[in-house]
Amino acid sequence: MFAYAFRRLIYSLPVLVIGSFLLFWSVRTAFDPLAKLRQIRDPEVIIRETQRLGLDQGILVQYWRWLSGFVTGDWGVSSRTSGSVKPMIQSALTVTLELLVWGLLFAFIVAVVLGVWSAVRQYSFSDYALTGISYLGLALPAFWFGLILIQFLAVWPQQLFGWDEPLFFFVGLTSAGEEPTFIDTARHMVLPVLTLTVGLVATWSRFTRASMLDALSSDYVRTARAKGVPRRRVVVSHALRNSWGPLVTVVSIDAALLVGGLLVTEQVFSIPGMGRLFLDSLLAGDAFVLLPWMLITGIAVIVLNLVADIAYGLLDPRVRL
Amino acid sequence: MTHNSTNETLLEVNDLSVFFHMREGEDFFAIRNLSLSIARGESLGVVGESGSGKSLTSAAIMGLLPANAEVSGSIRFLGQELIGAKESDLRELRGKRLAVIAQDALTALNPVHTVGKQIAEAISVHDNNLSKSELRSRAVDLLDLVGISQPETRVDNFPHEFSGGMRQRALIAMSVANEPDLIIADEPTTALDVTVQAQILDVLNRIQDRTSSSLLLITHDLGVIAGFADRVAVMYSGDVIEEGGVDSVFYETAHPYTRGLLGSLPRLDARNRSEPLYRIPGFQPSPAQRPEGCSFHPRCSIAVAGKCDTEIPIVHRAGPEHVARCHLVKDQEAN
Repeated sequence: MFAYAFRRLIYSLPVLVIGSFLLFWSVRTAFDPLAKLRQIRDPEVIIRETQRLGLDQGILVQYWRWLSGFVTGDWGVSSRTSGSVKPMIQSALTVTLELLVWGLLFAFIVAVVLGVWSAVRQYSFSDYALTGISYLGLALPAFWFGLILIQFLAVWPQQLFGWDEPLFFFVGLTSAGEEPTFIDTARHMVLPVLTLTVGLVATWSRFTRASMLDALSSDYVRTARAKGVPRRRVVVSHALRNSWGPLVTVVSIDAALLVGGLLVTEQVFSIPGMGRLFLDSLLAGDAFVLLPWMLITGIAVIVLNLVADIAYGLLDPRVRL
Repeated sequence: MTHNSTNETLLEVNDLSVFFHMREGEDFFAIRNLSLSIARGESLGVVGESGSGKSLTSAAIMGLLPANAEVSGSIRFLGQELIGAKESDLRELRGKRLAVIAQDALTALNPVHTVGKQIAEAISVHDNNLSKSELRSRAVDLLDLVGISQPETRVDNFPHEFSGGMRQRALIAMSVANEPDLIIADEPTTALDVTVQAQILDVLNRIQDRTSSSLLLITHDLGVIAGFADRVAVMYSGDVIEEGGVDSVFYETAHPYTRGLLGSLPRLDARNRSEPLYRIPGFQPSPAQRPEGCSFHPRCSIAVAGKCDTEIPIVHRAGPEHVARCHLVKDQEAN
């Protein structure tokens, strides 16, 4: 298993190198790092900066300088804020991951419970009801649902009970000017996590239901029932135990996508995460932030794929790693 | 092959009907007024074409019919009525007194659990006083019993590491783990090649001798029945159309369908081997579109117009302990 993981990481290095070169090349062609200076119309400055930044060198040399900088921790300076890029991405990534871990965990548990419930009671009223609700969940746009949550769970209860502050906060992930405590963070997390969860639960519970139905109609489930195994145990130990495959696939893909962008959720709740950082940098034409941002999300995709493959191996003895 | 059978009736199925409610299309009877019985220690073979309701009969006995099936009639096992019995009571019986050997060994084992764990589960669900190591050693013994070499290491294998024949043996080990009173073997050798088939039947035979279990052997192989069963029930379109001792049914065949089945077997001692094999004309009707009267009459060469195509035949006595559901069978005096 460890040998496999190690081998896979080694194999993914060329992918990263090629991917990062394509990234660098496309960003380098699309953005002009000196765009701001050109407004000054002083050719002296342009030439000096071109030489200082090495823009007159070949693309491979520029790429190499950028990559070695990235690897050694020198990620450059943002053209938008003039601050160092590394701490910007670090803090955005931390915020997004925090949101993501709770969102994924919560969505996963809810989706599995609902999916199993639906499958065990196929064609019953609750199955149809859950199917309807999932389509609704899929159809709800996050920006709208987030605002609805703010109104229903934060604003109205506060007005109704005349509280000083809402039960659930909806701006940022910490209260300004205070040491973050667990309770405080939790109160900030509830609404964005719920917003994030709705869409995920809708799809994931469908996947769980489908693969549970497959498993429940399989011969080995019949065998288990013929042995006298109680229904609940048949469902968990035989059917569910065989149903993780498709769910692992879809969860890892969704998770990888979300590392780069809870764009809407972050916007609605003013959370300074990766999505917002991307949007702000893109609008400001800040290539110095965009490049490492894209490389980080690329690495996330590769790592999560690896995690998914290892999970397949752990869950199914027929998969040899 | 006669085992130590007694006259005590172990399983008695009376007037069993299984009715399917379809979400699309017409509802239909998949099994219609089926009756059969098995004495303790006896082997009853059930033969019939695909779709004649053999496996459904076994599912009905186990209480494992699909949810859209409606069942009526009576299934008495050890004096207890199984139709309408509580799920918890049925669960007590399943695997303990009433075991089934599944049809397709390739898919009937759970791919993510070891063979040993699955055998141990058959024991532990009915007796949770056993420790892990006791369960394991019981599983090893059972694998040994069904003729798997090196059972101590094989017990920790996953099903995909077993060959088809070994998986079938493992399934047998699982079903006999609690020495059940009745073993239902649902085409236990269909997926296997002929040599393995013979070995598997031999294993079944040995176990039956050892435990004096009764056996309900579902198959479409008349040769297996001839070599293995005490009595045979022939099914056609959801009904037993002939039942009796193996010799009696094979040599004093009463029902034209059974005669057709036996006649269509290839024979080594055939006088003219270049002659094509006999085949019963037509096809078994789908249970949703059963013909009026005797369901076999459209294919029957001796059907009587005005009787066979209008009246459902009753059961006639064709000989001592030999019955057939055919208008043309003359009742014999029972002795």
